[in-house]
Amino acid sequence: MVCLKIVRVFLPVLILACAGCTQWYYTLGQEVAVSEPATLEGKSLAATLATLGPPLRFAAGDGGLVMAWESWRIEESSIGASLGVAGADFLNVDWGSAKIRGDFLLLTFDKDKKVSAVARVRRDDSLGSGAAIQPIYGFVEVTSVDDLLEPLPAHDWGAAQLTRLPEVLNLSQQPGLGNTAIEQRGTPSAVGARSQAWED
Amino acid sequence: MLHRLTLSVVLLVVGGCAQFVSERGVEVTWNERTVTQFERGVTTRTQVLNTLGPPSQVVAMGDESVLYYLNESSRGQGFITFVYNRFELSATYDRAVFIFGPDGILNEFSTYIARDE
Repeated sequence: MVCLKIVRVFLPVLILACAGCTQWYYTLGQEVAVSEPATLEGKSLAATLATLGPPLRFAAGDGGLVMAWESWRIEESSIGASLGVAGADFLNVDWGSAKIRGDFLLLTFDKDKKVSAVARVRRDDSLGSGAAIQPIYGFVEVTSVDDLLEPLPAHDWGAAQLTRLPEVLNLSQQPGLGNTAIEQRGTPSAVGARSQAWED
Repeated sequence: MLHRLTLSVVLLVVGGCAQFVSERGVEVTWNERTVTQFERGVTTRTQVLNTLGPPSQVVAMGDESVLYYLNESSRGQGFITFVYNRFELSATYDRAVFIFGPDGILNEFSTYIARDE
């Protein structure tokens, strides 16, 4: 009977409050298989590939090869509630946050295909948060990690070769398509090499 | 009365579930048996292309060239309830890279299949 009473009380409160929480967890790639990347410096391309496997991103420029391996865990949480209990049925309050954990290993190779530089970025930090009071429907997302979830650029290579002429001429400025540059996930498109890329 | 209430609770709290799979890129043909055919200093670019098919990406590196094969597999599942939704998505990257010299002979290669782990 007590249980029934609790349910009777709890359910209407829940429905009135209309609160809900959503969590997304994204795991991208496997852990980068080296604990001390500095030990790779001076190693041959063959030894590096044997240790780390094929890279996830790479480019070949005049200066030599650039390769990158990455592994990420991204968490996105949001909570929303109706302000009906406060007498404002038409308003919702939303709050959300996102965080990222993982690492990005970048290696450059010289003309002799020896590792000439090693850089590793480890992240375990917040990607930001947001809050909103919105009428009836959540028109604005309070968090977004879409730019961090994009497929690897190698998938775009074939299609990119078939785009219209002005775009094809600018492909060399498109990071990840094989020439000149690679970039990390979530790099803003208005800076660096991307600022030269052709956009409609 | 109790049954009706229980049903209401179940419908409200246990909403539903979802499962999704997404595959991008080329078919994973670089399994262990196939890869043993390739030999550094012997295998040609034509042989690799004939065996594995068109790559995801071809990169020119001066006189040398690189064939890059990539398959991106994303698997996810989630459950949806009235008060809490949770989704998990995991992406794995099966890939192979082949580097050829100016004569089109295989200099270096490396392959990886996540599902084998």
